[in-house]
Amino acid sequence: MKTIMTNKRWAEKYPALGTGPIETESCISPDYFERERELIFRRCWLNVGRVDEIPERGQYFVRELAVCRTSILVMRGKDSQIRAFHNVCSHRGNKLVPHERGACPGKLMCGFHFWTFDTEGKLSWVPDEENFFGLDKSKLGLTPVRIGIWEGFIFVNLDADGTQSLEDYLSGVATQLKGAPFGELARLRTYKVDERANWKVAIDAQNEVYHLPFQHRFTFPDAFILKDNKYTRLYDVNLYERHCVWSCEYNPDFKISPLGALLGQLDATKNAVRLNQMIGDFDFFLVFPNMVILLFKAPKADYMVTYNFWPLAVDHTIWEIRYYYPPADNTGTRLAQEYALCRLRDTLQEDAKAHEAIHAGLASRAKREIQLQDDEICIRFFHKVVEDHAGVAETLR
Amino acid sequence: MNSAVLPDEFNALMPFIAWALPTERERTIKRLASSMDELNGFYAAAMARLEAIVAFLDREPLEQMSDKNKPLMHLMLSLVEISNIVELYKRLDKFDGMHPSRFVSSE
Ligand code: FES
Ligand SMILES: [Fe+2]
Repeated sequence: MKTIMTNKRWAEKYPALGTGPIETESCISPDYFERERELIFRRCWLNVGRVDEIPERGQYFVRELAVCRTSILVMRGKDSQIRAFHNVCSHRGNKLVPHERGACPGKLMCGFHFWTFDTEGKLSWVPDEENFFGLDKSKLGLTPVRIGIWEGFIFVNLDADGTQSLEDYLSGVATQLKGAPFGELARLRTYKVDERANWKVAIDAQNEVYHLPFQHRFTFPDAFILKDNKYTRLYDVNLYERHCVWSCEYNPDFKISPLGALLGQLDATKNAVRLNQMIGDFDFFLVFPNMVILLFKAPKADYMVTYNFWPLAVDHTIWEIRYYYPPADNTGTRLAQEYALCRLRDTLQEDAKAHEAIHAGLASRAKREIQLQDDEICIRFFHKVVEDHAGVAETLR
Repeated sequence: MNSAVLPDEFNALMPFIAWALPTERERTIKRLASSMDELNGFYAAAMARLEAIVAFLDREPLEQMSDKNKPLMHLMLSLVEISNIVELYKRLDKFDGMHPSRFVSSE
């Protein structure tokens, strides 16, 4: 065992965060949510997809960024470069692409009057152009959005005046995960969960493992190392400017299920992808503001799950969950992946129910603050970063 | 109606053919509509043949699985789908999570 069981060690490592309770008004105030919209979501880099969603030239996807009140078109041009645009026609503002994804044969046509754009976003054709008044087509391309690509993850930034590069923004996350072979993993499944909860409430509920032996007493009580065989202890915590990662060590006494054990033996993959950039056996990277990268070591090959939490309103969030595994090359591996997927899925369904219950509890204002223990330090840190961006919520009386 | 059939070697699993469902959504719906006795019965029968089925299916590359073998694969994916209930919860009323239909799956 590598994990140190000493109590309260993270407060010692990061004393500036303090140890007091956390206010809850920021999770339930519609005014505060408007501040987050402007000062966080319209300023920060946001993960909207992966490059493998659009491997071919001319392929595109649309991301409805309700929280930023815009729709974004991400497209791989004929020149193979990936660009992002506001999905808004230059003529009268119609939504250019009304569907979620596709491939264009070289041009995108607006459905209203057929103004036509090429795969680089330039306006290429206007019907009955002679009847306009000195149109300068070269100035009427789609409005670009700042885009950054890091280890295959596509990010956009709605702050047109911003200058910080994605790499710089990601700071320690980019350093720690540099060169991770995420591109060798394939997406096996996506879930979208429409939740009546604040986005931070949902993130907070995932951002610790203190609850595992309790809430997940049937699904994952003993996955990670336990103090006195009872309570989880983190293996490591690292804070990077606005992002953080906590890591766990697997429990050697984990009680594996009969099917899990059998599939472990039958998993005969030769596709042993290894994520050597990991810190523990399980890493939880919270990429501010709303993305999580979960990395899992496993006996035959490592794998990844990502979360994106998209706020629609102060009490309404879409939680996206994506599973990435090395492409299965035999039946045992395929079934072992499905097993890991279903076991985590059921756990996340337990979490999702809690997101709504917790939000309802906070919304009652019965409690104005919440209490955190030392292993919940990343919740404390996350709320501090939110405050650094959006300010302190005024508590209603 | 599910008109799938299984390779002769696995004829004994034909009583469970209704579990040969290609998508996670269908498998989840069937799981939620089943009694604990039904889940236990399918689990026991499928677990007993799992190793033989994996060996049988791996005679051809996973990517090129022939259509006639796919029901067998789907049956095993259903075994995985129900295993948490049978192995971890052991009862239908223990799971205390969001209704699975709200986890909208890509398959
Ligand atoms: S609004 Fe797009 S062509 Fe008129
Ligand atoms: Fe959880």
